[in-house]
Amino acid sequence: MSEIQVEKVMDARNAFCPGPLMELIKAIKKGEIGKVYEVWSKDAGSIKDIPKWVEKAKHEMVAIIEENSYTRFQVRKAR
Amino acid sequence: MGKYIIVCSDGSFDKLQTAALVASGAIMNDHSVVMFFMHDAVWAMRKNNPSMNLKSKTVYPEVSEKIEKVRTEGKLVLWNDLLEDLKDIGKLEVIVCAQITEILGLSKDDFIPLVDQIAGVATLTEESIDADHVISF
Repeated sequence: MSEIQVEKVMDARNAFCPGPLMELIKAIKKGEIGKVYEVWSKDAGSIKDIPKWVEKAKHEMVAIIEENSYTRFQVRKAR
Repeated sequence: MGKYIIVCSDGSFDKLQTAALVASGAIMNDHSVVMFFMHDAVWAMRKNNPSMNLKSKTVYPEVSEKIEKVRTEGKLVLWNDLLEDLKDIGKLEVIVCAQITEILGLSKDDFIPLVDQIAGVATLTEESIDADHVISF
């Protein structure tokens, strides 16, 4: 896990659905192919919505890391 | 990708917030959305949004209290800000109804920049012909 280079971290722990996913989408749209973007979320919807979006949008879910009170989603922009 | 039409005729905070949330689901999944604002919802699109548009008026006081709390804490993305964000990431067109705009004595300059055009119901019905889903609030 430690070798993953994260380009940008978005702390969306204060945001409700769809805030965290929106932050991720914005970063990925503006981002570079191959780079990894990480969003932090406490929102219960994210655990379903974010992986689903990543799959549908054909990006790559690098890792889903559960912390004490929030989840970190690392996503690589694939296209 | 699909096309959604969302018709908003209710100008209450609750309905606008819900409509924007539904639009976000569609835009985030790369569908295009046309939002058509009619009646009371047109009044809500004016610049310098009056505070009444930020008040939840659900039938449940507890719901209003909880929404009000997160809103005043700045944790709730308001419908108009959410729609601005959606325009940045996808294809969202916002149209306001020509009839009510005229009745209310408003013009394009009176509306928040979110509004793309003022058009009649014939535009709404034509846009709906090739839409996959039409949702109304």
